Amino acid sequence: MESAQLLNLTTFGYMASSMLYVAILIFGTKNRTLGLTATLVTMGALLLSTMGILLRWYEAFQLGFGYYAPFSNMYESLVFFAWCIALTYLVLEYLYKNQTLGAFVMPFAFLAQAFAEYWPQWNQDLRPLLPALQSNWLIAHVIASFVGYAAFAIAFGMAVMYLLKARNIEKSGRPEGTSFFAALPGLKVIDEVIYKVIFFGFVWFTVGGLIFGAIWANSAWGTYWSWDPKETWSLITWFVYAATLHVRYTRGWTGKKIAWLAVLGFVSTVFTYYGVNFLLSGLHSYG
Amino acid sequence: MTKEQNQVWRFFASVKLALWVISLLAATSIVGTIIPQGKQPQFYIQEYGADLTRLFQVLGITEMYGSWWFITLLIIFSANLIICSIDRLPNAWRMVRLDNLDTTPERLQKMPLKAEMKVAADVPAAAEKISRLLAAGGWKAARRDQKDGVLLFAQKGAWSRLGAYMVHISILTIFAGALFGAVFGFKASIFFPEGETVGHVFERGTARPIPLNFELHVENFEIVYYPNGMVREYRSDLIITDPEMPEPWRTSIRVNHPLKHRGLTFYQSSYEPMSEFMINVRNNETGRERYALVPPSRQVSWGEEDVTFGVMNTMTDRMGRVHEFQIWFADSSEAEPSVFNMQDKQTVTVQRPDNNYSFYIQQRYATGLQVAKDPGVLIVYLGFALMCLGLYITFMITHRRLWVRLTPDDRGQTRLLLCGGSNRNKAAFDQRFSELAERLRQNQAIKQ
Repeated sequence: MESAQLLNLTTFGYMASSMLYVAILIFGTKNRTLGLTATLVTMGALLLSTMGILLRWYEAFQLGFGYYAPFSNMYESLVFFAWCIALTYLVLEYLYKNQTLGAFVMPFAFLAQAFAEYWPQWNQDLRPLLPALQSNWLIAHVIASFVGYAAFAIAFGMAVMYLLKARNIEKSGRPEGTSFFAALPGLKVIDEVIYKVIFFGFVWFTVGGLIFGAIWANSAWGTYWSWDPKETWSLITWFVYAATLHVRYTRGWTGKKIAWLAVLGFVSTVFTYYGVNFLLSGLHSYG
Repeated sequence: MTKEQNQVWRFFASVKLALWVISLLAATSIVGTIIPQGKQPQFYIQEYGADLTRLFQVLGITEMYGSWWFITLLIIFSANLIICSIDRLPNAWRMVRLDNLDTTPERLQKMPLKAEMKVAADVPAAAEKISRLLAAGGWKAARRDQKDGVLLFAQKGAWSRLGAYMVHISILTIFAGALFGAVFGFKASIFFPEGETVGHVFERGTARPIPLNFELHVENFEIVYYPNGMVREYRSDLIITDPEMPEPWRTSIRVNHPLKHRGLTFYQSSYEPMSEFMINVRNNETGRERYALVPPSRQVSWGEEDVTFGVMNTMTDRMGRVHEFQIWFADSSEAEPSVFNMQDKQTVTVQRPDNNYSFYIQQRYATGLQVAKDPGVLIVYLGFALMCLGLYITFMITHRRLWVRLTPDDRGQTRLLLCGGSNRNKAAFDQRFSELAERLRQNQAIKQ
């Protein structure tokens, strides 16, 4: 078995998982078999992805690349992004014992993975690391940044959930909304989770993205901060979430306002992660 | 303080200002990622036209992160952080040091979490016992006798109230480090060919030479390739001759592996193939040899041996690396000149009617090193550490408080009122609180 096959299968795993969670929304959370299947399929897909990533690492080792880590280009980073989303989602599902979040989160894992596998622009070949990437900071910086990105993606999914449910409640006039909106957690709970997930992502992103990134830049490029577009956009994203946490904590913003800030933050995150590499030029051109 | 001063103070201490400055910093930062920074004026004129270029120059957009208005925003941001911290820290400190025993039964009744129970003992014995049960779970209770009973108080993570301020101070520390580095450090670079020695570097921007007080000799610049042709390593092999060191120091610099010497850090940053090749020719019979630096398409005569040679042609890859040389070689004999192809760093034998020669050729490179002196880096890293710690405290540690009020009932036993609250993670603390109350009710020690 090659890693490429495993990672390709993962795409279908995430797709099945996304569809199952949407089915849970439609048919309700009462069906235990459906719920269990969704969780098991998600775990299976995550396991496939884990094996795929590890096998790819091993293959690189076999090819004699020397120091390598499977986060060195856009393809590998998207696979890892999807992996982080799936893992963080499973943890949330376990913590909150609620499967309705899945329909708003797992599609992102699927999209990221499908984007990685099927976008013709990526080179999926296993290639050795450029000199600039041969550093132990690669693993720490990438893993921590992507846990942050995944948290921001999940906060975005939940913000969408919040806004849809809030609109449904306004339109229907029912306190919990109609049809499947009623099965979603209460607005207060979603709001609380959005805040917590953002805070969690903020910590990882600050430490992994900005601090580890700066330390690494200092040893590779000779300066810890050079206003490179990737750095600047990370800072912009950081400002958006820092402002979100402050308005929440000191001014008591909740609900729709926070949900919209989570949306804005994620737009900035996507630009930091993806937009910078394709629309702007800079030093950080690997992924 | 006068009322006006007070208003200025309030303004700089406000979260509103912080939000405005953060939003402005975020929004304006975008400009510099879209418009390339630090290019020559011609570049902007070509890309954006003369009018826009003039506007860019007036607003300092071509180097916007160092422009007066961006620096002003950063200064306001710092002032805001400083004044907001001075303004609020005493309050947070008061929360940490608060005498929580100085409270009233009415206030306790209003606490978010409450549980009531009976203890089968008189008040002093009950206080003793409850303190012991709580202490088992790490809740060290302070005690105060009141006129109608006893009040116990225990808390955990009180100092977590300071976490957010630690993050604020860490940002200021990072700024201080950056400023310190900008004032007392410099960024420079040096570009020199293999085989040469330098005693100075050139400051970035001004090109002012900065003496090193030691000498840097580049023996060799090497590009190491993976089997598939991708670059694995750029490396400069150096010899440092420092009057303060007993002997020359052989070392090398690679990407991600800078060299530190005397407060300076040297980074491998670029290279360029030189336009001259290094050739060594040796007459294998007489043993005489000659070194020469030879530009392409130029004949070199070696009078002693009456030999003439040159590089007729080269085949280079897109990075300027020559992978094949075409050499022309003639001597005094009547025979036709030899023309042959050879690769870099290869030795070939040239057979001539009277003699045979060893011919070696090597492409020469110049290496580009970046040089940084930044005494502020340690301060910046201290700021990073503070930020990690502050975020950890803010995110992971909750300030949890428990009060126990013990009053005698009419049968000589004790009524117990347990109250509590936490500043975040309320759901988790609710759960913990009910477990705790349950254990007290059953007279069990609190678990850690």
